[in-house]
This record gives sequence, structure tokens and C-alpha cells, in this order.
Amino acid sequence: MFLLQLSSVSSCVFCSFFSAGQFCLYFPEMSLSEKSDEEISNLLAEYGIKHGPIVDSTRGLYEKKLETAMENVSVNASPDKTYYREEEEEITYITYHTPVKHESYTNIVKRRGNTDPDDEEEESYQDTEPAIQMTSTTANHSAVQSRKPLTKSGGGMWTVIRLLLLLAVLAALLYYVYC
Amino acid sequence: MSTTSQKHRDFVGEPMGDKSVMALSGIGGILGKKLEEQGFDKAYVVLGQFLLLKKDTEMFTDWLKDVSGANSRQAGSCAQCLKEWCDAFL
Repeated sequence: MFLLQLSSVSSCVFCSFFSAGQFCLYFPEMSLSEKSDEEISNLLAEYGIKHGPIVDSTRGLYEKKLETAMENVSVNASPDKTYYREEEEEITYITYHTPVKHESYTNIVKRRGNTDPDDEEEESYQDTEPAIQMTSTTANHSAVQSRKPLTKSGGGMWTVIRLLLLLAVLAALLYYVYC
Repeated sequence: MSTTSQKHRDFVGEPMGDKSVMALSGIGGILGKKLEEQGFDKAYVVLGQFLLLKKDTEMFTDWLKDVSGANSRQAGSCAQCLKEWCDAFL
């Protein structure tokens, strides 16, 4: 700790030789507690954290918020991006799929029962095949690739899809009953 | 229609004046003592902190959990209590 302090002091002194009015620019991520209130305020704005005045009682809280924000940024750098792209693809295909639900009632029933096997889907239906096939492959793709950080949202997506299918089945049943 | 406690209704129903910090909803004996140790001995001081955090209940909840060791339910209850008091009297 003492060595750290020494090095920080020496680095500050070193910096001051080069830039008179500015503080240590060479070590911006040193420690949040050493930053001025204004710098904390700027960092909070950078991370999009709404904040009030930085005073004694609020400073500790804001420093913690910044630490978690910095950690989250480094964690969610790459895996999130790929997942999000695939999620977008998934969504577009599903919206294409829904208007066809009336015709392919039997197909939907079949699909409900068998979510896993791709080969069965390939054999059964012809017209809506590419759409469904694509959704299933992208869904599996995304599920395999980024299972660790974002299974919750992937599972959420699947429950939404299942709910939609259930509603479609119910609607078809009612149609048949009241016909 | 949230289920509010009697303590909550008592606090939100009138100006807080000089009420102790333990009059706040969610703050019992133990939490109240911890807050008093930190210098927050009256409800209005805690109100001051709430206002400093721009009446953001989430921020205030985090702060309260940090400072007093309150759990999510207690902190959330206190935040909601203060928010409603502010809506009525501030």
C-alpha cells in the first residue's frame, strides 16, 4: 500500500512536469475515491447514471454504482452483441410466420409437440418450411452459443413463442367448435 | 392498490415534523439505531438524503441497504413511504 502511494505520488509529480494545470492523465483509472467530485459526476453521466449532487453522504453510493457499471461494461462486451443480432433475426422470422397460422393449424400442433427435432419439421410442411426452419436453427444457434450469460432472456423468448402458439391453438379450437 | 401498513399510513398522512427515524415505514428498532449512529437521527434527515438522491427510490433503496443493512423489502418500504410523503407535502 505504501509503495502504491509512493508510485502514485511520483507519477503525479512526473505528470506535473509535463502538464502544469492538469492532474495525472497517464493513470485515469487509478481509484474512484481519489477523483474529484466533478470527475465522479462526469463519469456518472458517461455511464448514463442519473445522479444528484456529489456530497459526503452520496459519494460512497455513486462510487459503488460506478464500479458495478465499469464491471458490467467489460463483461457484456462481446457475447451480448452476437446474441442480440441473432435475437433480431429470430424476431423478424416470427412476425413473418404468424399470418399463416390459420392454414397450417396441423403444422402448429405438430410443432408444439416436437420442439427439438429439425428433421421432422423438414418432412411435414412445405410452404412454411423455410420460415420455421430458419427460426428453429437460429434459436438453437443462439441457445448453444451464449448459454452462460443470457439463458434467462432466451428462455423468456421461448415461453412467449409457446404462449403465442397456445393462443393460436385455442383460437382454432374455438373456430371449429362454433362452426 | 398496494397493501400499506398502518405505520406507512400514519407517516404519509401528516407532516413529519420532528418524528424519529423509527417512524419511517420499514425502519424498526435495529435499523433505526444503525441510522442514528450514522447521524440520521430524525426522519427529516433521512428525507434530506432522499431529496439529495433526487427522490429516486431505487438509488435511495441502494443507499439505505448499504448504510443500515436493511433488506430489499424494508428499504423499498421506506423509499415508498418517503416518496408518498413528498408527493403529498413537498
